[in-house]
Amino acid sequence: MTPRLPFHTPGVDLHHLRVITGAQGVAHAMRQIDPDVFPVYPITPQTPIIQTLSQFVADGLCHTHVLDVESEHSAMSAAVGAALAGARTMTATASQGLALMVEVIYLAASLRAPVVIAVGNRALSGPINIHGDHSDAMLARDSGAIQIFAETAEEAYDFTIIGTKLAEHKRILLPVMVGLDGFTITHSAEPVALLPDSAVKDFVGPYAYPSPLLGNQAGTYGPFSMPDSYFDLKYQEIEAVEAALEVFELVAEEFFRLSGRRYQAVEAYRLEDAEAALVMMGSHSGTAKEVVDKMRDQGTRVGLVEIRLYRPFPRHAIEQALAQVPRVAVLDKASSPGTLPPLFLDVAASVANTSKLVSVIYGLGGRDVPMAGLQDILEGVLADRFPPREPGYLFGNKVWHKEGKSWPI
Amino acid sequence: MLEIRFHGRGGQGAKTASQLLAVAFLEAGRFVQAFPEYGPERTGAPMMAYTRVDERPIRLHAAISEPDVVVVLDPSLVLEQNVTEGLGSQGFLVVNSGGLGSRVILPDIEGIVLAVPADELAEKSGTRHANTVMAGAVAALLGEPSLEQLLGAVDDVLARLPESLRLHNRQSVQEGYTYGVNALRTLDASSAKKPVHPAPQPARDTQAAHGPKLGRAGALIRPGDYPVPLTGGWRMGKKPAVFLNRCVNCLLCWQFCPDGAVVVDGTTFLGFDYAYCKGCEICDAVCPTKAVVMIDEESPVGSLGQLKEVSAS
Amino acid sequence: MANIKEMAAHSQIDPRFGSGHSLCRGCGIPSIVRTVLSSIPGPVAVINATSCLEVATTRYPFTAWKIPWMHVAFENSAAVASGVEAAYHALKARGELSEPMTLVVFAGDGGTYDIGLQALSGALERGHRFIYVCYDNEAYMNTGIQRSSATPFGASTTTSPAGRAAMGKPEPRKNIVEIVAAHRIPYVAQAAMSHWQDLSNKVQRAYHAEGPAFLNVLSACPPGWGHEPRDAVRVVRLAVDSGYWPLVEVIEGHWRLSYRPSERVPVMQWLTLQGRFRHLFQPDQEEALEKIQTIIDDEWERMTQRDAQSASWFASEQARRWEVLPTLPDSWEPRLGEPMWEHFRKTPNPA
Ligand SMILES: Cc1ncc(C[n+]2csc(CCOP(=O)(O)OP(=O)(O)O)c2C)c(N)n1
Ligand code: SF4
Ligand code: SF4
Ligand code: SF4
Ligand SMILES: [Mg+2]
Repeated sequence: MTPRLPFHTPGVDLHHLRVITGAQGVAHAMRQIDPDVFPVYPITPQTPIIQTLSQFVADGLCHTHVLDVESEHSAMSAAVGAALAGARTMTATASQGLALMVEVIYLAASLRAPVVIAVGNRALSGPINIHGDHSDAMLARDSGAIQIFAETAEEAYDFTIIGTKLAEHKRILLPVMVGLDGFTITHSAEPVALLPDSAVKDFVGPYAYPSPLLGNQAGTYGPFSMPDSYFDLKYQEIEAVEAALEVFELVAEEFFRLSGRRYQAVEAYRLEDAEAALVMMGSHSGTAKEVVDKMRDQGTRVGLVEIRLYRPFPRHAIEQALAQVPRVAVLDKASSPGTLPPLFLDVAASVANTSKLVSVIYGLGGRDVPMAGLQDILEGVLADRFPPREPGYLFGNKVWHKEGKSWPI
Repeated sequence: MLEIRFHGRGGQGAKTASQLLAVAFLEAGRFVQAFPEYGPERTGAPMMAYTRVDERPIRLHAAISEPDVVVVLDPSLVLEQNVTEGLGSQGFLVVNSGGLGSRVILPDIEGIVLAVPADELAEKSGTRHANTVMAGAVAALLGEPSLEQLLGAVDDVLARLPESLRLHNRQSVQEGYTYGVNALRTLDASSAKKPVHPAPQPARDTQAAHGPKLGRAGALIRPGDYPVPLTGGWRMGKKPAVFLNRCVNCLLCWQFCPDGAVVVDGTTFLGFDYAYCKGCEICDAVCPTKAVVMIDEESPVGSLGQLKEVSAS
Repeated sequence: MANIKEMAAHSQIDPRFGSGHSLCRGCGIPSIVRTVLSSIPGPVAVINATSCLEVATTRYPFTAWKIPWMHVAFENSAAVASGVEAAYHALKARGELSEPMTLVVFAGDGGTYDIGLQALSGALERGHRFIYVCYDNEAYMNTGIQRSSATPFGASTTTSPAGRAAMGKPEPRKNIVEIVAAHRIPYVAQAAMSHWQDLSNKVQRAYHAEGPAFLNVLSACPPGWGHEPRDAVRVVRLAVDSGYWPLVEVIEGHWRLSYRPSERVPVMQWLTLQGRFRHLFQPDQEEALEKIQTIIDDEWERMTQRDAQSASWFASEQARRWEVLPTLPDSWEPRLGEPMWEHFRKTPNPA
């Protein structure tokens, strides 16, 4: 007797896809882009990215100089040096490593070093934990780095390519952090459609940093700035970050023409006539889409807003997407003890009527986020069960609010 | 509110003077604030310090752009900076006239200008710094704080100094105070005691000053295109000069001059560039033949500081 | 070897570091910077750690630097240089750079001995080719004379102040030269701002080293050490002549004294010039003074022993290639703008 599959349709041709992890996807994108310099320091869950890339180099598949430095601080420092000197530069990190890098990420942004940083988003210690959440990325929230969050392995691959072109765009010249959730994306194998090597090379083009340090003229890079110039220089940086709202769309459009995959800073998923919606970023947005579909099938009008471009924050797109939605839960995979979490605050700053928003913190330290849990959020919002200005906490299938109750676990 | 701005050079004690007045004013029952302006500058570089005094608690934490009183601790700054910037027509300008040469012309303002021979008075009191003298003179001019309050402030602010130095500073405060009191007699005393606020002036627009020209990330790509600050004003007292006939062209002075102020043509020593020379005297110290001499700032000398031997000595 | 005249001519034909900066009157750093930069033929790029040198020479929109120069942060200049060096190789491989370029790092003792030590160690181990120059003024001067691990025993700083219950810094200084030498890089040296010819020679050897080179150069700091600006050169010379600051080189792991004072002067002569040691001349501080002399004597003894042990190596054929060859004919009389200078620039690397 042969085991029977529960399918009713025949298989289709998926030859163009490869089953690889998000980390491998990023490494493939890096191989195709072939950066000159890759200063890096290992940390879980970023390690498969750098191991895969190192193997590509060892096998002669790309020419990148993998610079195994002695800390993430030095990795980012070397990256800034290399990028400004005139070489295309990338790096990768996560969690504590990102925390150690942050000082230099601010500098990279202000010195306008277009370094692509793949971040395998992971919780910050302590307690020490290696699993996924967004608290590390939030450390660099105000650094001037652009941040993109991937939902799938495919997106991690695509955003590494898009991110490179975005970082190096002449109006931008800023570090770009490509976030892929630790383990849920870095270590999960999914079908990914790799583009031809030559197509990626043509798409990103040669690295052409304007007047690099090792160009042919003298120049003082990173002078000391007093109060009479600091603010102006900072404004210049702010302007470049803001410009990424527009340039992201241009690059994404060009990428669409190349790949057939279209990305928006903000994706509105089944928002038409929705009574309630979730707002979130990263891998769990996929789960949320399942929940939305399921609830819609059952006649409940719900939707999802998925944010892919987190910095600069697409305020107007969010405002538009949520304009007609009467109830919204903003989901943060990070906390800000003592106040409401960061994504919530960003969304609250973008909508006209903040009283329709509630906050839920989920998935810290890699806590699983089942469909039932996301459904409980939507049901709670629809029933106006959640108090305003107090975050709820998603544990397994249920959202929990303090209200004098004891910790549920 | 009374606002005082001190102009000095790093190391001249402008910050100390601003604190001294603040502590003394507190003693006189006023609310006060004292703060310096910090930059990457070092000993000798122009800097400013401020004192605010009011009858009620001071909540303001902004720079002082329209001072009632401007105190200049180093007369050479009058050449380098617009020390009266923002000083209203009723303002007071108190300048240390020590070593004040013919090249310094005090600004012509409607308010009171008082020149205090503070270097001289400081020396008489046994200190090297004019700051405490100037604080004393300013207090006398304003009629507050009292001398006792100032002396108390000296003990407080300079508590870490050895007893003897503190005594010298008490002495110099007193000298300055007395000088101010005497000077006041010749001034119109009533107007001196009532500082009047000048008409507000538009704030300087730094955006307009820098904005359009800003290079990316502040990078200065062709360094030659940017202005070079002259540092000759840092000299206090003496400048180097040379008897070329004694010079053996060893270039040791060139080697050790921190400021690139030794002028060399090819490999031949020519003299000094006073636009940059900070007067550290290293050239004098290292010259093996005593060709370099330190001379008074006012002594006439050729542009490169070349001197002619008058007679065999 | 570059003598003063060559350096003077060099700095006019190819100016690298200029006037107008706001380093203190009598600061020792500029003469080190100029000596280093004018002893290196060909193009140079500089990475500078946060320090007095950095803030006082690049106050926007002024810069004293006439060559490519970059500052990123305090603790990472060796790491930034690693990245720039990696970029340099990439650009060269692509044919985008015509001339070879020398990479120089300038950092203070704080940025080298303390917060930058990890980045330095990493870069040395990886073997990046650059000349790392630590200008050592024995404290964090930029932030107001706080102690560093380069501050000598007994020195008073704002964070190791002398007082009724304290006699200045209670710990002796760290020996950075030994630490760096333990990385087995090709060239390590200790020099002093007063001994410019020795410094220039060492820079030239560093230039020829096929790998990282490190120089620790003593620099005077009038406000930090408490001496008259005019005594800047004298005070550093006394540090050398007393044996407090031995001028050494470690070439391929072999130590030698590059200069030996004919007679070591008592360290008291050096100490009494400086306000930071003033408190040691109180009646009850003889013990501390003796300890300072002992630290110096022990160190000197160790250095002379090492020097003796290496004598045979330095006489060997292998050591010969480290001799810095005279690069110009004896009759050379340089004059501004004359092509003679080109001779110096084109002199082939003897290494
Ligand atoms: C991470 C960090 N910590 C502290 C500082 C503040 N800081 C700037 S320069 C400096 C001291 C520099 O000392 P040193 O390297 O000896 O150079 P010097 O100022 O003596 O020339 C310090 C503590 C900083 N810029 N960055
Ligand atoms: S005094 Fe001499 S050494 Fe000092 S800055 Fe002037 S010229 Fe240079
Ligand atoms: S140090 Fe004296 S002798 Fe030597 S070049 Fe200068 S002035 Fe001439
Ligand atoms: S504090 Fe010392 S090291 Fe810094 S500029 Fe002044 S003299 Fe030079
Ligand atoms: Mg130092």
